[in-house]
Amino acid sequence: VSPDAGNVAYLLQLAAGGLAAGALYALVALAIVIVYKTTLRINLAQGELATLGAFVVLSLTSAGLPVWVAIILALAVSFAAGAVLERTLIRKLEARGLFPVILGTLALFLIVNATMAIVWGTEPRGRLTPFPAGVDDKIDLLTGPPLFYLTYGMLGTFAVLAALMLGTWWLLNRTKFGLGYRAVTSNRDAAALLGIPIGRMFMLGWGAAAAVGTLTGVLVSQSLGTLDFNLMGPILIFGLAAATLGGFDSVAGACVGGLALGLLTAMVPGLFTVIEGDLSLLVALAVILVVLLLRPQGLFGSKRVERV
Amino acid sequence: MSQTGFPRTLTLGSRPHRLWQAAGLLLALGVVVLLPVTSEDFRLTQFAQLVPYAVAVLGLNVLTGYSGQVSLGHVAFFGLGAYTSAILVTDHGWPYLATIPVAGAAGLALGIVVGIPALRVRGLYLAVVTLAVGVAFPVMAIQPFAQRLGSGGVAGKPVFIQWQKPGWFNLDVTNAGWKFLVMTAVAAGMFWLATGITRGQLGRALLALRDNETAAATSGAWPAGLKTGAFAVSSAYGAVGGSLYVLFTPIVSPESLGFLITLLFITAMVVGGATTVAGAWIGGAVMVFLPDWAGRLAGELTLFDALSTQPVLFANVIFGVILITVVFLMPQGIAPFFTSLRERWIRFVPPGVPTPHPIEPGDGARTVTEHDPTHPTGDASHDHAPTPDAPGDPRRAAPGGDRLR
Repeated sequence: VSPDAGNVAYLLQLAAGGLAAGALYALVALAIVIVYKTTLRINLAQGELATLGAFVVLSLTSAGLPVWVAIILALAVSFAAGAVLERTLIRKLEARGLFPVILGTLALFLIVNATMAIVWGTEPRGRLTPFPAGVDDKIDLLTGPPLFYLTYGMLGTFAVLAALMLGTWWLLNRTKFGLGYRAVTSNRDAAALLGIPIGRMFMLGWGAAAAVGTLTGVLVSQSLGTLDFNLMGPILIFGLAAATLGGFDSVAGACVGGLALGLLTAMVPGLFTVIEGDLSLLVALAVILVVLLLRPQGLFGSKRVERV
Repeated sequence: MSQTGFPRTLTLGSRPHRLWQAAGLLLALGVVVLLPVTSEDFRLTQFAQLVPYAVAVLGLNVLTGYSGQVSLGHVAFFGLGAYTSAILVTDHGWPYLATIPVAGAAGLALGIVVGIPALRVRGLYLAVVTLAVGVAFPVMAIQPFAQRLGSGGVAGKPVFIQWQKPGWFNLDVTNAGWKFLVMTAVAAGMFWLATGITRGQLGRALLALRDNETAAATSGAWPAGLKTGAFAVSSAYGAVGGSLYVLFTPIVSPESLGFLITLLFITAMVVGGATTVAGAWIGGAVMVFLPDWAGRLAGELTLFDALSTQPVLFANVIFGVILITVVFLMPQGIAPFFTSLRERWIRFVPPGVPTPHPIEPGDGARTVTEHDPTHPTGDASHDHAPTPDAPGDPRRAAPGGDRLR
């Protein structure tokens, strides 16, 4: 056990860092859940699309646009790209079964990943800074030692996550679109019979997921302090682990799962100094395995009854 | 019955069929022996990369093509095998050949540990678990605990296997050529084993499980055991492939074991033909020769600088495009295409079946794949034609009628 385990400031700082990382995992999980809820499929290229969005923001800002204008433009572009992708590629694969969809998203992974490296180069680029990222851009809460502080980047990530969760909740529960979306998720065939355009719902779901992904990519770039074509590699695993923990079909589960996973991956190595090196991926893997063995539907997910 | 027209039919296990088999094996043997005799070492090294990849891809074929499960972490088992052999040879002075079974056993063990969740989860969840394993592996290889085991960290584990061609071997090959022949012999053994697995009762049970788990279980197949077993066997193949990999590759580094390699394995599996054994060779060849060809093509394109400096990237784009194209246009892969080509001239049928009347191309494959939950693959690697439908078979009356469900 770490000698600092009794130090309040140390613990709080550990928790804050973990939650900030967890908020990013939650955003990745949210995008996965949005796609999974309607189509019961996982977009394995989710992370690459997010990185692509971040690169679009980079190109727009280097063309002279203010960062938030660039982000809003990139959000619109990625929403459209996600929707078009669903309409043109995924829907055709969907008709062929589960495995072709997995293969399709993997092919997308290969193509997008390599294309980004070709267009923007393999060298890491400077980070995107939607929130002030200077050394002094932080709020000191406890004068340590060690110091307990929150950076503007952390606070911004929390704000984005909260806004997105509220927005999603409002969209799903207070709008006609949300009613249709929920109908499709609970029973696809019945929804189609009732005249809900399920194809359009899938399309909008993919678009929304791509837009959330772009926002995530930008925030990850700020948080990691870099931007390269492999930006989202491990983050996608954490996002999948968060979605598994929370339940693949639960929006709230994505949020709770992400934050819990972030806390766990920060606390375990932070408290037990026996652990050397970066074992957070191993923690994520363990979380996935334990959840699947004990409670396959996740904390908030609904159990699917299969008829034979 | 007289056999004048084509296709000719031969009974499996009959004398003419055995002759055909022997001729095919002799041809393969000839190619393998001629390669090190005629080609210089550079060309040979390319073929020597093909062999381990083919063995690893064969593992994926058993898993995905025959048991219908998905693994996105195959590179972890490949890497495990490579590290096992490299560490045993470099640090502990083992003779190389003795490390292959150890690597295989390590792959089998890790496969069982990871495959146990396959008892409870399927489809996407298994994809998630294996993806996490595959992404975590290269990161784990550079951690302190792995370095204590001798992984060599970021720089990788060097391994030099210098063999002298033994004196009794009279063929005019270089030392590398001798290594290549030994490697191919091991790989041939692995392929022979896989043929036995997939053609026998085990293979039929796996296919039944893939197509309809409930029906298979009712007929006496044990889903949990078979699925875990298939996963473990596939992992062992991955590990043996990795072990063979170090024979010609002087260093095992985490950098060369990234998620992209898994994607290339999967592309190779799909391109070659997932429900075949021979398709793995085609897949391995694609993995080796496509980047080579793409590199030359990239040198001629001058749109982006990165294209000529890093042709691998361009190859990856092409891999992705090929993967999507094959999924749409040739979902069964290339190997079944060759099989159906051969069956225009000659087909092999199991004993006890009367001489079949000609079957429309693709007819047999369609009836097999109608219930396939994962992907449409015909079972074309087996050296026999689809059993001819009995007259009045409903499938004949309404082909594809099951689609209505």
